[in-house]
Amino acid sequence: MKKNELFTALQQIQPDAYMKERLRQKVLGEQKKRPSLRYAVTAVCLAAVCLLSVWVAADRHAQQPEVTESEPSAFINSFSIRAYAADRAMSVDGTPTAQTDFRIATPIPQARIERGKLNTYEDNGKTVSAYEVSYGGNGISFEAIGEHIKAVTIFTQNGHLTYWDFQTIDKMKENGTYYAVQFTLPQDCLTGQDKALYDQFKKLWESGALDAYKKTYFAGKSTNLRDYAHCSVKRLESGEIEVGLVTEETLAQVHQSGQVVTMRGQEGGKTLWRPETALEKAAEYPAIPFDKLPKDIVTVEAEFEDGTIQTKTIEIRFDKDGNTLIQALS
Amino acid sequence: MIVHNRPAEETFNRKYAQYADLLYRIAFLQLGNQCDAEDVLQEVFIKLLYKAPSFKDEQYEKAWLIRVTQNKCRDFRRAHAFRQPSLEESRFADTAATEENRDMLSVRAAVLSMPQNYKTVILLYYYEGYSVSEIAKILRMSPSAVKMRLQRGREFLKLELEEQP
Repeated sequence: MKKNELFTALQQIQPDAYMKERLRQKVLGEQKKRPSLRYAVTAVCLAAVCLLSVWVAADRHAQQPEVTESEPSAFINSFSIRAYAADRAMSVDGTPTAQTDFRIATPIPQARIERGKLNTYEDNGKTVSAYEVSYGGNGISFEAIGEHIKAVTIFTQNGHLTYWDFQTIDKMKENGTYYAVQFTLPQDCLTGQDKALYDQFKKLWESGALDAYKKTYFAGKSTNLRDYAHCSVKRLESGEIEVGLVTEETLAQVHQSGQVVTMRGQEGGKTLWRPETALEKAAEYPAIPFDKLPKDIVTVEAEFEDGTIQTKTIEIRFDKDGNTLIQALS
Repeated sequence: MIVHNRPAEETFNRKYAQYADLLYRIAFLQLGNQCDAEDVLQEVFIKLLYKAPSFKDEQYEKAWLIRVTQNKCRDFRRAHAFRQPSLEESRFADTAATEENRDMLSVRAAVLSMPQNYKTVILLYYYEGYSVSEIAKILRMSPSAVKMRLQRGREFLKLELEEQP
């Protein structure tokens, strides 16, 4: 065994991306449970001072007129959460359809788990059955509504979060820094829409039929689509087809995905939550009742400009018809 | 609703960035799985934030943390002596075993199966780059004891990896 093999093996032992948040909650939560000796002594001293003050005040009460002083009002940052079915998952213009007060379980319109047909296939010599499942509304978007919010971080236990910072994408597109390579193809080059359009483009690209574009636009950059993190193929209003390739570095600036996402700034970003664990369970055969599917706990943490942090927790579960119910826990 | 104490949070964030990877590696090597390692790290960070002595500099702080993590792992093993995770569980707990990383997992499995005494010494020497005398100071051992553990650790790894198919 070489030293570098040992080094690499040790390097692979790493905490997962969410351990910091789990530990932060536990370690900082511990502070509340464990008042230190210093605080205990301070508390005893303060109690003694209070008793003494009451005693002295009682003694002087008869001699002095009563004075009332209004306390200065303390400013407390606060926020509320808006949740709605994200009809267009990656778009900034989804219309809010369900709202902010989730003290009782509130259904989110359109956000519903549905089972389709039962498929059967072979897996390692065994016959496996699974339902096709879909989630109406494409997921749920969360927004933190409040003033002086600097950043919002959302955590999910059993779901999956995706965040796109459209404001930054638009700025980068204006500056010409979003796409590493961008070009347009003639309108009759491809047919179809969305994924079909992309699949056709990919086939054509790999066939060599578009090699002229590789020579014209790539100038030393990789022409292998797999070397790019995102490939956008869309039909413009003019009918032409616009192709844009985004590098891993650029995508990391505008896109987050996983069980934790952080949004900086209030405008121009969208977070999409999907019940991944529940959807996996819903696909299983025999069918599990929708109201027995795993629920999720979503934590929304708002960091304010003055440095304070407030956290709200939401439970998301499903009723017997698969409708999403959302309820605030704190 | 939770309002976190900002100074404590900032300290936690800073210390986590500085030490979490190292302490996690020590705990994972000692305990063999992610959950137990995380439990130990929780106790270590609580001790660091609320009960730590004042340190002359960061090197002293780091050495103190390494010792605390070692001790917490030892306590944890004693308290959970009845529960030994299988090697397979340890190996594949947080990494998918693809063909590409199977060789690396063999090395990692060999490190995990080493006697406890050798693991931290091997980690500090081969990964953190500490010298024998530095490790001796950190772990409060004699340099010759460190050398011996390094030598036996190397021999153990060599034998383990030769025996694997």
